[in-house]
Amino acid sequence: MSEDAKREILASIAAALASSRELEGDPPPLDPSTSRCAVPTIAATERLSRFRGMLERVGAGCTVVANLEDAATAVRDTLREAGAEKVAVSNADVVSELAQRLEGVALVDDLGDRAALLDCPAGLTTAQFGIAETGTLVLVSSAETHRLVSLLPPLHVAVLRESRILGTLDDALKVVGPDGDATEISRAITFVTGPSRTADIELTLVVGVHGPKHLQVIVVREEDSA
Amino acid sequence: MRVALFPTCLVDQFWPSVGVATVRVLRRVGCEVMFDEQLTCCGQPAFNTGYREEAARVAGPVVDRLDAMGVDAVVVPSGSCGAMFRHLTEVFPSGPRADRARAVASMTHELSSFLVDVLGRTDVGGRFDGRVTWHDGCHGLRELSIHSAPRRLIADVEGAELVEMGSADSCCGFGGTFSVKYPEISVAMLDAKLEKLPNADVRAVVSGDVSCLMQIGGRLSRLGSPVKALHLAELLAGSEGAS
Amino acid sequence: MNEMRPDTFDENAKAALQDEVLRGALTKATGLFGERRTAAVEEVPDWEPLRERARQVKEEVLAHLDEYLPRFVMNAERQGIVVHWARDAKEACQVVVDLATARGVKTVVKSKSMTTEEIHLNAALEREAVEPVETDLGEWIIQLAGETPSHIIVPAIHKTKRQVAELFTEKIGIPATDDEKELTRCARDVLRARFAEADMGISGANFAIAETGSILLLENEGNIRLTTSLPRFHLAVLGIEKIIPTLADLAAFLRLLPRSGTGQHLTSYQSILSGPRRDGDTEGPEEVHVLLLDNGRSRMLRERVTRQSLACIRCGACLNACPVYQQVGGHAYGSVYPGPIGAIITPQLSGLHKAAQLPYASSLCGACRQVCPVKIDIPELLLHLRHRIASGEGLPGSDVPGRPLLERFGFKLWAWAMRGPRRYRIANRLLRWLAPLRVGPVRAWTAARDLRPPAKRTFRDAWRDGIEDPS
Repeated sequence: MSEDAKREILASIAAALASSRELEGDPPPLDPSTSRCAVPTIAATERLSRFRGMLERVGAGCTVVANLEDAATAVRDTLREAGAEKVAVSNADVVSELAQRLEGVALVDDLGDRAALLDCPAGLTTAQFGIAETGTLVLVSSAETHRLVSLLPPLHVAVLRESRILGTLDDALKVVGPDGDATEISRAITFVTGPSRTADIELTLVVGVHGPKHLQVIVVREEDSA
Repeated sequence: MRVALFPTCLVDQFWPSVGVATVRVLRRVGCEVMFDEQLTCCGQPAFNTGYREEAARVAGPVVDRLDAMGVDAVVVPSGSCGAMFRHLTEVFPSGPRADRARAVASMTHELSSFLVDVLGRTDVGGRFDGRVTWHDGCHGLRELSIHSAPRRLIADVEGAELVEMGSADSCCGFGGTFSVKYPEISVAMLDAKLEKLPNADVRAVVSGDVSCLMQIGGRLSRLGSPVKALHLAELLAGSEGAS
Repeated sequence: MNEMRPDTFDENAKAALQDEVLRGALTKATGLFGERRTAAVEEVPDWEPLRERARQVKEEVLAHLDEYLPRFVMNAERQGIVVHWARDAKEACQVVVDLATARGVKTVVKSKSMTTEEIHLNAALEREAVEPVETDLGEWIIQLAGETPSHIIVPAIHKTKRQVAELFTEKIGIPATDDEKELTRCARDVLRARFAEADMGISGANFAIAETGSILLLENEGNIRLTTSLPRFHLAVLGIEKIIPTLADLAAFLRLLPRSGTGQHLTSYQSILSGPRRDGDTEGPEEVHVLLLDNGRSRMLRERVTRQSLACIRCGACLNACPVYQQVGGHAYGSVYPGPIGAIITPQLSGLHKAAQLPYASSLCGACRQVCPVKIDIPELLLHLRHRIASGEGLPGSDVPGRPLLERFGFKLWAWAMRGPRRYRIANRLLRWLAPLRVGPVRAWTAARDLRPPAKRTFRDAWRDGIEDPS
């Protein structure tokens, strides 16, 4: 059935377009001069402040720390403030290193244990990139197992190196794309901009509907850490 | 400058004082005004309802006549009909009339845009005593980009003060045959617009389209409002019109 | 609620105009979205070039869909995605039902998808004892209430907080509350349990990227992320028009869509998904399938004018901007796709004869065209469809509905009368004689408006007599 459907749909498309080309001609090719329109450039020196400003705008927290040691303190503080005695951790090296310094906090590190993840009050991951233009975290699944850790718990703490903050959406799409860092596109690339939100009841904003209610981003400035 | 006045069928049949006022304003700014009885209707009512053949039958002789008049410009006291002249290229996509339609369309101007953008005039010697508000007709605003011209003209009318109503650019609900196909929606749209009509003592809602003004004025009159519907040409001519 | 169909638009609209709660909600929602959109757009200095770019990209794809669609399919299959095809709604539902039943699926979690609404997928699943659970909060509310969405972005725009609270008390047994935070929390809890048990997730897709074979989904709630990552089987249902050429092309659309839809600079989440988990992965669905739906789309490619309807990215901006929608809301259109975009898409998808009123449900004010992020000339399409109806030409694959006799005859008479000065003068007399009788259109006009009486002396009478300057 599907083969018939495929053949027939493609034939129908071909027939419609043939008729259009005959009567109306081929549309003009894409004007290359418009392809770079509206692309702002954000200088490297401005990225952190822009990133931070945009995060605040969407109601996410942002802490900038000097090194991994301070990052661990920031994570601990964030968990304590949220009253989280347990944290789910992804498999990133940086996360493992941080996890070792979280004394007094129980770790959930079996990423295949759905029930445990669903029950966990906090999740700790890194983000592969940040986008200054929009205050966005980019999570690339081939680099880390963090699809569920970043989504199921009500608090998501994400650690990001400052050097990984890119300028714009265009820059981000380039690095995650087939011509970017990887030879093949990752199975899941997730852009995260602030907490989960809805306004479906009388247009009143409520955060934390299906995903995290709080997003805390910890930016690590030190280059050679981790 | 020799200009042909295309008065529009609605002005001619329902609101002739707008045509008279337009003639006076155009003469006042030094135009020689021509008119021809063949200039009946631009075909818009039929075109907008889907009857392109009927629209062509009506607009054809109008295009031919305007083309033959040898004028420098065609002036229309309506943004809606002015916009319809641009659609005439769709009504006459090919043949000898296509060229004529294109030529006529390119020299046709809505009144306020003609005065301000073509002649560079904003003070045309009008007088009016009191505050008025402006209604942007949709086709003038969105198809002909007419926004500042009428406001600048009103600003230069002696004694008149323009107060924006905050919903100047929302549709009045006329929409041609829409107003009688869906009269309840049409009136609901108008009432939503008029809700914002300032309570301040505006004497008139001014617009560049008699179609919108028949809708707005008809409702205001039914609601017993003292606010009048006034065409820009009447305001500029200094005669408030015989409504 | 009575079933509303596109061909009863006039009655649906009249009923909506009587519903004060609905109209209050509509005024608030459309006003707020309109303001937010304006503010968000003003932040982008190059908004107009951006729109033009997006329009061109869409036209490029649609005019060469015979190349881009197979390219998407090839790359998707290379990523391990299984691709299905459906010519129409019935076939699409059959594909989904077969996939679900073959896997013994009992519960399907769904994220908001206009395309699955279009094919009435939920009803088809229920018939086979597969329970579909809508997970977008607004959609879930609508599903609990047994209603249909009234807005593309905010499906439950027509329901007040109180109505939602009463519904929740009745259906899920929560204590009465008027706190939307509490209502949202309850929804989260109930739906989390459904996510945990579901064997299959069904989503739509906002874009499909030919270059990589990926699909992209935008959202704010996180339910799409859950739908596409928790169940072992993920199926995305999308129209064949959703393709864009490259990943890089997404940037323009990501800047346009959220700003136009909700006035956000970006929605909370975008998921770019490119296939099932691989060996060694501990998360992500084991199977990812895509169902490509035609259902009337391919024939819309035949002309540039109709083709542009397929450029729609479902942002909802035209609904909020439309003065007709602002008054009557989404249900009146009797169609999955309401508002101006619905008025042009529905007659093309379902057939002119089934939705003949919709192209006329507009004052042609052009506000929709002004806000459309991909510059669809909706008024041009409305006029095109009206022409195809009035001329009897119709559209490919569609019966031609008749127009009222009075209208046909009226325009014939009008065309006769407007040709030449003598006939025109006769018409004037006729008009002056007919207007006071208050029949037909005059009666419709005068129900709530006074009619300016036709002039006794027309402009041409004045001209003939000579127009003097007053002073």
